[in-house]
Amino acid sequence: MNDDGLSPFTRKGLATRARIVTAAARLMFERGVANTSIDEVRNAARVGGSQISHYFRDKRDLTRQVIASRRADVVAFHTQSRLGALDSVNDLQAWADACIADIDTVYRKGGCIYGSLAGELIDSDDEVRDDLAAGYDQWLELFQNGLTAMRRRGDLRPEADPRHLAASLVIAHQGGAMLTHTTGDAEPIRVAVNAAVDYVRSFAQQPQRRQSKR
Amino acid sequence: MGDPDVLDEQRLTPKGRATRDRIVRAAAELIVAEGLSATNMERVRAAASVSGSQLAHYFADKSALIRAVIRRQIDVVLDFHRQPKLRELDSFDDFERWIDVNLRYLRQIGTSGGTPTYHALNAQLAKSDDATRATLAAGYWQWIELLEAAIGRMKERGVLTADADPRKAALTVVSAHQGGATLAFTYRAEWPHADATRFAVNYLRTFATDPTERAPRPPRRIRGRRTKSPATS
Repeated sequence: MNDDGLSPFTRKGLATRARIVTAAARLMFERGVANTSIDEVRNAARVGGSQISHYFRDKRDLTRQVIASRRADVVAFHTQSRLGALDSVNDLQAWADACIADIDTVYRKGGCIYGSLAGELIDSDDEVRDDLAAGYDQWLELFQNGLTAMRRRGDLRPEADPRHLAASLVIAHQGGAMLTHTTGDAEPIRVAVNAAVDYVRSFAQQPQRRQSKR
Repeated sequence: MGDPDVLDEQRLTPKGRATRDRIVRAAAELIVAEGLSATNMERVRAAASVSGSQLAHYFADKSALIRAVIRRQIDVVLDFHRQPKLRELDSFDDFERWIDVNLRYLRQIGTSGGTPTYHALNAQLAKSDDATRATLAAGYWQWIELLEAAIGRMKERGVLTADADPRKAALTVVSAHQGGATLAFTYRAEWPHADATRFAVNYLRTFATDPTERAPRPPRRIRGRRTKSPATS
């Protein structure tokens, strides 16, 4: 992967490269990786053809940069201040609510910005799938750190498994996003993320009443 | 149903239907072996041993053929849930076996890709065109309805409490399954699907009337599961 500290590009070059990645990420989200051509990216980013090949070896290279960019978007979403440190049931419910608030603007349009890439690139080579798995690792870790803190503080019972609960949150989100995108119905993602948070809640020291009646 | 694809299919003679089924099966098998992008009409034609005009008679284009494969694959998913081992899929024991058969199936097909599992077809085709997406959506609703009916029977028998919502539980089970499969294929590992199916069944257990059934079962330990994040950037 590119390390900007050792980047061969000038500051202006980096800005151009970022504009290309942003345009590609948007097109791939809206119409899929397979249905996005380099030509369309070039038009959307308003750059010349030689510029694309200057910054990206090929479509695979560009796709890998889009994966890295979307991974950063996922981390930014999960570290926004209104979600706290994802280390209380209230923070987790705030996460579910934040996802639900994006249903019409994001999930019904193209599913999860990250998961729809992972799903579509399921036949790709090991290196690309390693990129995608590393992004999931980072996402899972954000939840796992918060859940581990909750268990350490005694908010969660000792048998709560932070690794499993983190996986449940991410997986419910990914599947719910897929179903909401495909069906165009808001219900799957809303129900799935609330169910995952309720699942964490079921491990609370004082089992709390289910809160999601939405 | 007013689906033009399905109406076309119903108009066929028994012999026509057999030929059509052979084409769909050949296409599904090609997708298993080669992946969706490597599957084209000419290769399907050769694999099904039909002429070009026969193929064109049943399927106007690749998109129509792919929609038929999607309908075939949701039947595979529904039949999977109706296998005798799962009985009526309306008890916690049945759902525990559902976890087992899911993991066994994943082990059998492998996670290397190229299989026409429903999540893979969905992820690769949901952004192609509206007719294809509508076919994928119809499959999901059938799957959700099957589970909603099964979970509804558990509620009627008093196995689940009155506040259990069979539709929401069914949506959660299917979402968990599809999300787990996506991560399993990304990681090329079983653990995501083990966590996903365990979450689905434990979530259902939170509505159990019997306190011993309500207790969550521990996630299964699976070889090769994630331990620590690799320090890649």
